[in-house]
Amino acid sequence: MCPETKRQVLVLGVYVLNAKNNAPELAREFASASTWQVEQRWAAIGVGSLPLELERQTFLREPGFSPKFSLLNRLMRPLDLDRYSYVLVSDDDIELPSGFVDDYLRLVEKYGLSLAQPARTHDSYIDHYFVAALSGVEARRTRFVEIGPLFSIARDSYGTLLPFDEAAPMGWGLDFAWPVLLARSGKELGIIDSTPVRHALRKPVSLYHHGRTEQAMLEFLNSRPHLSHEEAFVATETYPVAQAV
Amino acid sequence: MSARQLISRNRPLISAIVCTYNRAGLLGRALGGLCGQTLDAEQFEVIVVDDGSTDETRPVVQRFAGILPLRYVYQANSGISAAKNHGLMVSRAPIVAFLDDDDVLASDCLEQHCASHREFPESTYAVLGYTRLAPEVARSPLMHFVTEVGKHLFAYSDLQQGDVLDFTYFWGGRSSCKRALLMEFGVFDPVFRFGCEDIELGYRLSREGLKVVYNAKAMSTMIRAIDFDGFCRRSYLQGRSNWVFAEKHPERTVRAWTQVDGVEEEWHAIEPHFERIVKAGRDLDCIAVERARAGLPLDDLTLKLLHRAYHAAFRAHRLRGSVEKMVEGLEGEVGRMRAEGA
Repeated sequence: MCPETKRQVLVLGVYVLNAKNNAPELAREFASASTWQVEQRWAAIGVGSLPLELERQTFLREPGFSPKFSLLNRLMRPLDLDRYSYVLVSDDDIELPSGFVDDYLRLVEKYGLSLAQPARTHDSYIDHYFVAALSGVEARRTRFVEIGPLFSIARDSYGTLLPFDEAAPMGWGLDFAWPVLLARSGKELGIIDSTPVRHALRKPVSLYHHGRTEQAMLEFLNSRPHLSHEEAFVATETYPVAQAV
Repeated sequence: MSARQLISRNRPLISAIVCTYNRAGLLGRALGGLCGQTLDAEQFEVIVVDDGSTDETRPVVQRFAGILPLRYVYQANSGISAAKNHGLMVSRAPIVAFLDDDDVLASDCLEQHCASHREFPESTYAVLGYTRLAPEVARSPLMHFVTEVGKHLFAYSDLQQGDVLDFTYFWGGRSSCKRALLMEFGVFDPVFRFGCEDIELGYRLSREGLKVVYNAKAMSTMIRAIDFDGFCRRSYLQGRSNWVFAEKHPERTVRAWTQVDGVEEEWHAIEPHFERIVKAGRDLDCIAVERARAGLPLDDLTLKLLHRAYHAAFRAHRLRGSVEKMVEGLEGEVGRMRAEGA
């Protein structure tokens, strides 16, 4: 495929300067996509010098704490999102399989998923075990896609999900409200099991306050239609990995 | 019925998850047992997870589609943990029962599981049911040994109805638990393709307070007799999983359960005699099986020898499995160090 015919993906990421992170490796992995033209926009939080590899792709710097989803909104605000087939949002503390963008988005497209995430490897920190990778399964349709460490939104749902609702500043609770919003327009959610992400570098919520964020989530969910855990954590369809004959 | 329709219907009380691999004949009998449950059809669902079977599993399941509240899901062959997780993720009920494809449930088995969960509603309580051997299976000298004497397979002789037990009784194939407990604290680790997947998960859940209540009235019947070579193979795989379990959790409790301490020395001592140990076990098993077929008992001395031979053969296979897994791990580590050095 000629470069000019490649469709575009916008990668939005947030990394923490004064904490161990994988942002440079992730940026390299995203840039290595062969079937997509990837544009990356990162925000840096904290103090310290920018990694050389990310200097040109870092569009925001915040020396103090700043809510992730507010930063993501600021990163995409100047852009015409319709240029991009997908927006892919990434944390800085994950490891991706080689060829991730090509393999992951191929399956997102195959199953027509407007909102999707890769499953987490079993040796990851896992908040909701529903997203743990299923071996032998390529993908599943779900009613839940978590707010991180990596998810994608297809163009057909930008109007529904973007800009992110900043009433949930760290995003907590968005993942239980999103399926309700998407169901209204008949959009599909899902998890790609065969391109799992490893999330083991930092324990989640190690860099911000758990109690306050949880309180913000409860207030957020109280004012919005959302799914319960029981409703959210059920796969409606699963698709097996093709077996070698 | 589509998955969407299933999910939109009222939630059942219990999801019966049956994982299977190339056992179409047995599976048909297991599903037959689920047809006569005393729970109403809308109170339970059956999920068959086909772990990549190449036999008649799918058509067998299809025969029950109009009879049972049934869902069939297929995956590329990935082992028991992966299959159980698959069933768990598509299940809809607040209670999940992990059943074997070679067990036939008594008609009130699922109802009994539900009753125990009503009695112990806290999320940390799981329920262990009772599995007996079908009469034709119980006649097998080996099956008698592994359940009643050596206690390699489910052994109930020390249990009383209502006992509250620890994680070592979170036995796959006959236990149920709250789905929410697994969603919050852990699922099966797919590294265990056979053996230990249940106890290892139970161990992790025990940190969250898992307790296992024994309900002997939640009964099932094992309809498959394992033969001598089959049990040797099973013991070997168990040994491999034991090693992985102990490596993953190098705590005293786990090392004791997996019996991995000193395996290397023990294996080196018996390795030169391995083939003879196995042959002795197989030969004595043949004699015992033939006599059982003829309805003839074994004399005390032969019975004692048989049990010692079984014990030695199965122990040797477990040791071999653990040691081979240990060596593979060391070789992998050396390879990684070499690659890093290069």
